[in-house]
Amino acid sequence: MWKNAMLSIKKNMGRTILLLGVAFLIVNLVMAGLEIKTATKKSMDATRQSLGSDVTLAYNMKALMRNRSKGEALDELNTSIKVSDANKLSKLQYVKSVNYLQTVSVNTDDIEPVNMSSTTTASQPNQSEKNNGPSPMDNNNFTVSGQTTMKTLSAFVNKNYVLKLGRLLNESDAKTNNAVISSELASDNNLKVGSTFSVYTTDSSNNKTSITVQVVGIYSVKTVNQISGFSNRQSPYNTIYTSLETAQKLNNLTTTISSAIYTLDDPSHISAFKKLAKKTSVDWNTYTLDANDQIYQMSIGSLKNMNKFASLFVLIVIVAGAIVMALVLILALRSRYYEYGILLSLGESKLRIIGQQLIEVGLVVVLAFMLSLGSGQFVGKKISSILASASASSSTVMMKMPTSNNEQHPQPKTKDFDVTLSGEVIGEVAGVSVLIVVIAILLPSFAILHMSPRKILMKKEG
Amino acid sequence: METLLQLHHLSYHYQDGNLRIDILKDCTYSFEQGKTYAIVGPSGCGKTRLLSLMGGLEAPCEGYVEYAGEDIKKKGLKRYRRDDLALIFQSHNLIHYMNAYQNMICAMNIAHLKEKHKKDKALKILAELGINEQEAKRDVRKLSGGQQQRVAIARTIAKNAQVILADEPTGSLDNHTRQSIIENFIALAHCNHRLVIVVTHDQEFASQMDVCLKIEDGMLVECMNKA
Repeated sequence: MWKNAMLSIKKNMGRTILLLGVAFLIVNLVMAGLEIKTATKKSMDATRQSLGSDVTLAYNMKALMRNRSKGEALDELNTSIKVSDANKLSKLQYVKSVNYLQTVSVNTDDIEPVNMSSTTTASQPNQSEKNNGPSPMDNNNFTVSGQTTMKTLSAFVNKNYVLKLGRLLNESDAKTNNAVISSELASDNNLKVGSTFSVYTTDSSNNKTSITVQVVGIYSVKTVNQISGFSNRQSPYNTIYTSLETAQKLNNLTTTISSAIYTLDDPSHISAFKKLAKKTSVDWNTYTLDANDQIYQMSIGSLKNMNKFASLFVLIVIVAGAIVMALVLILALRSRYYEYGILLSLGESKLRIIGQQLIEVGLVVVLAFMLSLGSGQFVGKKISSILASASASSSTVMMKMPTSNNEQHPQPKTKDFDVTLSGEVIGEVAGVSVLIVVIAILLPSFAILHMSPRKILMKKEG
Repeated sequence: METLLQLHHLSYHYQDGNLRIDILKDCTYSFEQGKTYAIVGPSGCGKTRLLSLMGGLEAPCEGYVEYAGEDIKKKGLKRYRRDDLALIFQSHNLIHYMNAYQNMICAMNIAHLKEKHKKDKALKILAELGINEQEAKRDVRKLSGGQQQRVAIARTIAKNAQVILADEPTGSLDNHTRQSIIENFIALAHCNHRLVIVVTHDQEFASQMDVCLKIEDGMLVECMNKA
């Protein structure tokens, strides 16, 4: 079977070269498609990794707006999260650490805020919030941001804020009134590490809650969303970081928080974590989980399109390639009936005749595959650069969305689109090549299998 | 002489719309080893059909073919063609991407013959039939019609086929070459004790065979005997 196949290949060079050309083209295109698919997947994974593995539990604003009464002010709506609900998620698989956050606007008579504009003043008092206790937020010039730990805060992790003096707050500061402030606030008020000052909130009954905090750390703000347009308390310069308990005391509520950030062990576990979270008894009409999904989806928009295109491209090439090869083989078959007739008359089995076909085509495809190892990467890079320039750029989307605690969202770092020939792609191309050979042989083989030896011999005779 | 091939009430027909066309009717005959047989008849009488039934290339509608006392269907048609039978056609007998001795080796391999020096055996048989080594290594398409038929005959010798069925083997050959092929067939039967059955419309050819049979109204009958 092998000897006959080799003799046939050698003697029918024209047909062999034609088949080699077709196979080479198909294998190259399949290789290019799979390279692009793999590269887009790697880029999407890398983008996901660069956005970190934090998942934030926060109030579902959509649901909030849906349930809001006509004319109801936004600052009167309850957006707190129950600590008991947050605790349910902290026990789930994949959670490496948890950070509970509570923000509350405060005022102080001891220090002056870093004014955002020369015309920034306290606006007219508004009706106090129903559940959050403190008196009109517009009168307050500062925000106290309380958390379990500052270690995992993305602003510090991403080096938007950098610690200059002292230290950041951690779990051991839980029962303390330690605070971390910005360097601008410290220099404007001659504060240093060890300094103390009081902050207070006033509830709807005008009851004052006052706490004296001690500065243990001073940070500088490297990048900020915008300079103008903030009120004083919205500005990152006027944010005072404290322990969670301090912020809850000022808020007069210890059973609720503003949000919870769950840091997972791996960004790839985000979807799995979300699935587990949905199975808990937490009310998902009220709350929502966010893993910088919007930024991620916007960043990978064009990559997703390329990935889809590559998948479709590979499928079309496989189907079309198999059909083209089958047609070439069917045409070649017509000139080989006489050969099959002779072999059948000699007592050869139909299966071995088909086996010889498989070997002949298989050897040609193997050669095409070997040649494609050299050219496939070049073709892949060419096609991917055409696709990349045709679709929207994926590396320029940077979303900066200020949050209530003035934290900046992490910025996605999209790698250069790297189309390379990996072992995984080579294996996939080899598998696809085998599939094409089998499909291409099956159609002509059916033509032989279903005919009786006599019919084949009659065809041989013309 | 030992009976090698037997036909038992062999019949073949096909449907042409509502009409049943009988090609062969109740053919019964015994063919002996070491003899040459010619089957003659007008075109379309069923000579080639009979040959294909005897060669196990298709199944009869009724009856059966027996080789060495065994129904060929029970033995296995593919095995029968592989081990015991050789078929020679008017043309296109050889695989064109092999040379003469490679064609013979291919047949020996299909028959699973355990020969250590297949190439030497092939060249020897070819030489005995007048094909020298140079011609044996040539592309078979470059051999003459007569040489190609001799290679086909050599192949039947190489695979030790006991039954040789030939369908118009000299149809496209000149007189001289045709005569030499006829002599090869006769030698195969009388010297190598093969059973040779030739379908032909050539009366000259038929007259040189041991037994002449003809198909008349679908039945197989003897037309003349040679002493």
